[in-house]
Amino acid sequence: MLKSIDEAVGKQGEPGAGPHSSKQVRIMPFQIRHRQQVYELYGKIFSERSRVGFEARWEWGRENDLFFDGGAKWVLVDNDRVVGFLNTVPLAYRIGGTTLTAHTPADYMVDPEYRFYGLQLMHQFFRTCANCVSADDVPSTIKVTEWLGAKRAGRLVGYVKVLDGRALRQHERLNRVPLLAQWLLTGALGLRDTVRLAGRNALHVEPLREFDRRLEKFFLRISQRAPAMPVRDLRFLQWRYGPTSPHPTREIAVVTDGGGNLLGYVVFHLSVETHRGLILDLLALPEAGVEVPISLMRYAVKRLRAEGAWTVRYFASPGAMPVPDLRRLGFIRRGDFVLSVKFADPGIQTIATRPGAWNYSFGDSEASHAFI
Amino acid sequence: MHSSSDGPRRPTSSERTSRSPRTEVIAVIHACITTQLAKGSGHEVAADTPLIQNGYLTSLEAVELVMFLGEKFGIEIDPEEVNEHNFRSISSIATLVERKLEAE
Repeated sequence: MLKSIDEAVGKQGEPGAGPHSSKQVRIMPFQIRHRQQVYELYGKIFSERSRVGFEARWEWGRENDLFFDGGAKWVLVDNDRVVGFLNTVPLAYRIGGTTLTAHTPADYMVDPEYRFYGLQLMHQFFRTCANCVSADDVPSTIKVTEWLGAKRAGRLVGYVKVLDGRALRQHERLNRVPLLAQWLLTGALGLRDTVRLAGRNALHVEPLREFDRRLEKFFLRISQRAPAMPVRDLRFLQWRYGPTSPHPTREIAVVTDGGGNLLGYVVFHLSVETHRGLILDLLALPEAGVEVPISLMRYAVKRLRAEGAWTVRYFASPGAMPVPDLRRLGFIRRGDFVLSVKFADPGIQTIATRPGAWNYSFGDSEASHAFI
Repeated sequence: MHSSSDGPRRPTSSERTSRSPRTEVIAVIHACITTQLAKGSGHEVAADTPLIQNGYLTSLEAVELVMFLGEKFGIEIDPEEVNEHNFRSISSIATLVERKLEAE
């Protein structure tokens, strides 16, 4: 995911400063000698605190390169000073029966004094990467992406569920609600969920320590229904959610049939620092019935509450879970992600932009790495 | 700047200012920049004010301006053309627009 174009260029770029009358800005492939300057740029634009997480994720990406291609990376330099950066994340996709690699833009950042030049990075991305998949929630970024040729292919519908009144502290306008009111709200929310999440017909949900071969069979069945989706084989899942992934504390749970075959699974994660729970993946076989995703969601919410989550975020693929049931479980709409794609092959592009073609989870995107 | 939902409607051929004199082109760009892009900055933006050097134009704003000009004048500006040379000032953007209109 790209950060907001505005956010990623920082806010301190005051018009009129004009300190760069002799800019020598050019774009070039990232080289290892730029790494420290990219870290420093991240710290300058976002925060020194978040820089630690960025560096850790960078190291993880280097040591766990799923495609062994390093991904394309570019820097904007003024003379020899790094003033902008764009990373890409390659992933395998299966579209219309063809397996191919597509790249997702990531870690976009531009020094606030060089705000105009950021477009060069995005233009370079679309010019270089034959196949592009982008999931973003910032309208301005989506607008730039589409102007550069990507087409909307789907939407991850955003939902949030409040579990604890202390979540109000994180709200821009409600953060001064008295402590007593926060406690009362927490009690009311808990009582409500005791009723809502009880689920008389709830299926047995089983925690899973690691992904196993059953997942591959499950995804094979999913892919027979979805013309476009990431290749979620065991290798990908281990990379994405395994013990060495950016989400090492994630939990996995599954629902199976009588024969041990998977009917659905959920992956969720709690950010201990922010008390925010996140449903990274929730998928179920359509023929298994709506009780499968509902049971998985109930389980995830209960676990996240027990672990100390104040809120739970979920980005639903179309058809992943019935909207009325999400509302019944206490989820409210809040902020969508738009999936935009650009494939070099016109036939692939046609399939990939058909309504309802995609089976795509929030966890498939680089986006979720930002929630560590 | 106009968002995709409330953006300007595409003008009819008679409404297009494709044959407008340079001053009119400059006036349109100036109005867009001063009312939307440099809004609230309190700075005067003249035809030759350096837009990029002074930080008036971010890449997003440049794209929004390109979309606006496309709607207003019925022209198409390629990503390669959104560069420091063509977007240096209102005057240089007007030159680009004029060149596009002449090429039609």
